[in-house]
Amino acid sequence: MVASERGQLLLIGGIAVAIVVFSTILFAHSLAVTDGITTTGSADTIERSADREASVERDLGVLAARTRGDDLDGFEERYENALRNYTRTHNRVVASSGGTYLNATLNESASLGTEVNQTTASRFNRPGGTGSNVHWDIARSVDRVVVFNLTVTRIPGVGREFIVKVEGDSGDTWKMVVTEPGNKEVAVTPPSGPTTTCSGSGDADVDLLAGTCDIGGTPGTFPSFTETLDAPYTVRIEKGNRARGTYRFAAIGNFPGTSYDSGDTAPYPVVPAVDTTYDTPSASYNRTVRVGVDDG
Amino acid sequence: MRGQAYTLEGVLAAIVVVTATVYGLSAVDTGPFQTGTQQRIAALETRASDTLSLAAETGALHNATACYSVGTPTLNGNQTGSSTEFEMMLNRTFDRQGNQYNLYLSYWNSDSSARQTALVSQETGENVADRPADAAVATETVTLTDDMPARIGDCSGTGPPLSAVDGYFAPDAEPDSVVYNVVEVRLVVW
Amino acid sequence: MDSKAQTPQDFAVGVSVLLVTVIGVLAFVQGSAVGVYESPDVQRNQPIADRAGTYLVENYSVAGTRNHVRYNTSGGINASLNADTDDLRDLKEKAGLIVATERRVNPRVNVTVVNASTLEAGARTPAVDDHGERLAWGPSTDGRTNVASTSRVVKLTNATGQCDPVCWLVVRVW
Repeated sequence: MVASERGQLLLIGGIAVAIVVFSTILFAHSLAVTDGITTTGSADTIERSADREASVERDLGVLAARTRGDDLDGFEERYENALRNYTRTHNRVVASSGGTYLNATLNESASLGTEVNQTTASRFNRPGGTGSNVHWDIARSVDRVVVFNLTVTRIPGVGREFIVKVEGDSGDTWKMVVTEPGNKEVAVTPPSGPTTTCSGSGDADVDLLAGTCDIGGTPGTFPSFTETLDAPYTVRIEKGNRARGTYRFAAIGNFPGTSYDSGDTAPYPVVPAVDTTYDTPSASYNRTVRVGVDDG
Repeated sequence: MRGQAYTLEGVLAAIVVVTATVYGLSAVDTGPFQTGTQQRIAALETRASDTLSLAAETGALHNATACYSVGTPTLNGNQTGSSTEFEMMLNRTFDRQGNQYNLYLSYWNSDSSARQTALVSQETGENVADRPADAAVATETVTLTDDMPARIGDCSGTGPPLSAVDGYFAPDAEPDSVVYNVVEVRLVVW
Repeated sequence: MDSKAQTPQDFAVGVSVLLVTVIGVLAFVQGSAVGVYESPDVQRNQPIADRAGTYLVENYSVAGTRNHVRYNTSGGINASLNADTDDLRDLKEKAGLIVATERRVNPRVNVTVVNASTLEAGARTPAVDDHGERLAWGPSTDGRTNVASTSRVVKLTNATGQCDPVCWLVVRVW
């Protein structure tokens, strides 16, 4: 080597000093400040997770809306089937772009909602509990109603009426009165506005959510209580022993013990809860989300 | 002669030390150390993911996915004169700001050769591969069910359901279920 | 070899060490020196702008939606920012932007909303709403360079067609 030449020694020494100075500065800086250069990377991962979760939750809502259908009983099974297929297809599609592995299953115990029904035609009396047999609350503090169907088969006797009352947040009342003076008549009185009446002969099928009535083939419409009142509602039956028929009501609310014994109500996923698991190379976590059912 | 060599090498050593010191001191700052290019790409990525989120939220992305390839000429990446809401969003946010983008629609097909279609922004023409390696990417998934109507016209009119319509770009991935297909929309911007 | 250093081999080694160092320094400095002498203000203020933008979008979004910002409703962005005196001090506190130290003053923040037709023209002038109010809050940025800015793509509620299809919420920090 030419170590005896002071020129090259000076140069190499200079380079060595430069390297030492540079790394000392960086090292001292990282000791003084804990903010690392890689924090932007983890912020990115979190942002992308939030976007992905929002996207999946939207898809779950669309599937729930599409599988709800008219047949309430098969909803859980249809939804679970749809979730399985959605999960499989989703994983296949995003796998090629390095996406996440998703697993989504319906969690029935965490879902919100209760259902009551009367499937054989009999009086609209209180199913259980204590209190008045004929004037009783179906539910109080009701937020979301998913189905509310009534069929009145007959009102024996003369001049009798059967009433369904819904009270809104402001105290206003929406009322439906069913009478049978010869033909059946369903008269709906919203809190402000004229009374709408459907009439016909035969069984009166009323869908209180959609605002339709069908009496022995004669259709009619009326303003539904959801359009004219604000939640939370209190749904009440009055003079229930005067009429006979069937009903079905599924909603989220308080189904009071004065109207029901245990076993008279059944859980029903009005707002389904889905256990979702996300697996990515950098993060793996699971969440139980309540799916907002809307039409996408 | 030797003296000049010493001087030269001494000066160079000094330059090296000073440069290292200046560079080191300027590199230390409490902000994340991102170059100008990295910041630009990060801003584009935020914008792309915001646009896709907003489009999915308002339903514009769903409409655009359900109408692509079903007899409507407006959704083809052409930026002039289109009235499809999703196209207009991309136009205002990217084309008019001088950015170019490619849109990739990935779906499931048991035939592995046909699992992705691509739309390109008008400026770059048909050359799908012509994009820089450091472009910003955002993705969003759209779920299609058998009974959803295909969108026609400017993607707001409804047509026959997807399971029955001809010429839709994605096949029915799960024939015995209500799920039709899952489309992943990927937006690459630069 | 004898110890006299003026032999050709020694000269070759010495000159090559010199040349390698010269070329290395020039190549190394050329890329990074430009970056080093870029204004550090924009780099330093960029995360501040990002954080302010994220806070505005997340806080004023309609519950359960993404990027739909409440504009004219109570507690919406118009009412809150109009009531924010002293150069948007309240916004800075809530978003955690009061970071003054001995070497650095608090950042100055300006928030504007750009509507869809302005975006079509490629400009960034603030929108004017139906009551003639300009959608710009905070000190003005006229004539300033070295301003870090973040733009978020949003839709304003009750904005009557100005945000069709999108609006931008632009936060500028200097």
